[in-house]
Amino acid sequence: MPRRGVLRLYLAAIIVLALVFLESQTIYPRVSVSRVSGAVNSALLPLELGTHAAAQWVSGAIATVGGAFTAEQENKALRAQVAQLESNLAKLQSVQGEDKSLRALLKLRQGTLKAHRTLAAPVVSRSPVNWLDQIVIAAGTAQGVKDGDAVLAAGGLVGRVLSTGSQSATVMLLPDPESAIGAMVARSGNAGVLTGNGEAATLKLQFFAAGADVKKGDLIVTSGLDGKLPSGLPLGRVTSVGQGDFGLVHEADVAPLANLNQLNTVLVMLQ
Amino acid sequence: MTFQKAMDGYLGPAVFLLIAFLLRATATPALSIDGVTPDLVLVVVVMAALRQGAWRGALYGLVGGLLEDIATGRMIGMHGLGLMLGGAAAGLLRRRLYPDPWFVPMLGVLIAVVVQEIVVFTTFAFVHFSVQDFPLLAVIEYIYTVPFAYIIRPVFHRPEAPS
Repeated sequence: MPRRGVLRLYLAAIIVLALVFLESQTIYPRVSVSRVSGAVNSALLPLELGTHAAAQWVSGAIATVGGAFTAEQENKALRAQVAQLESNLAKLQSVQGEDKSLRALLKLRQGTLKAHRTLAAPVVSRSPVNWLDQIVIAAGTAQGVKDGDAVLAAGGLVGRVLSTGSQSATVMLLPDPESAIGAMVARSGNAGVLTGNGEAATLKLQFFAAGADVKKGDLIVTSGLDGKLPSGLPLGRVTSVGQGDFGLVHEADVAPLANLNQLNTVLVMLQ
Repeated sequence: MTFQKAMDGYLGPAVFLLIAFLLRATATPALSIDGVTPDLVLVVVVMAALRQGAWRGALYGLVGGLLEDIATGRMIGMHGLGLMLGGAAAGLLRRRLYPDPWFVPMLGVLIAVVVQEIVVFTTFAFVHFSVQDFPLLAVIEYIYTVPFAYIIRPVFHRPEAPS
């Protein structure tokens, strides 16, 4: 092998070892890493806002063109009119959807969160990797957001602030494999830990007590036992109850109340 | 500088990497299937590796993966390592399979996804993170990602044989 090739192999081996070392040092969030990450996310914020807006515009344009194409197939003479009407309808539906979402947030703010200071923040991006479920919001330390703040959307809690930059913050969502939140059954008060498993549709609630009183359809809320979140914030509803892999743990599958796949605006509960 | 020269150097792949990263963070979540979205960064790394070879593939994988790691702020190096090895592995196909049969992007993405997910799975197992149906979700990710390799294939296609 030529000398250059050998050098490259050595370099690659050193990089691999350095990456493994770096990873082992950053498996759990460290302040220094959070700062770097926060700075990078804040720096990318304008680009992400631009791309987000462009993507929404393209999506709207495709919907309009798609509508126009269908109309043309059905009736050529009415194509322009139908396209216009469909475009208006799409805009109206979009506004109605946004309005519904914002009304739900307002209801949440005036109800469950009445006693707390909250801040509405737009979601600008999502985790660029599949297995870590997190979002970036356009509000950071400059707006009073701190690490550990609870983040809610229409329906209930969606996650907690993981790290903050000056103008942006990263929020770890409930399905993230690292997410663990103190939770309880609202009806019976039986408590446990609600963990994510990488899938947006299902969370896992493992109870502390073996004979926990829980049944399908029960509302799950935060217990406040972890000392990080206030109690009573709605989380999800039980979809099934089981005994865990070896029958040692009483657990339940929980469907989140908030639609975690469509988060446009969230409420941050300021400390 | 012509477009072909830019695509043979660092500039072309770097620009496409940045675009892919931004789209992955902002646009592709709308296409999510239970949290899985097409991996556009991996697609660019694989296509650049198929054009420029294993070493460059490793470099683009390292840069793209580290960008993802820094943006998430957790487990820095996990995707850097996974994509670096994945890009290098995909780049090994370059000379062996010229003149570029139709299945090369499909095979390249498969190799890179498998290598990357082995690194991710090993890391998660090490820290006891549980991802339900990991292999199934990785298969969905692969199926979901492959079409994008064919969409950008004309941009990265090399008109002449690799030297």
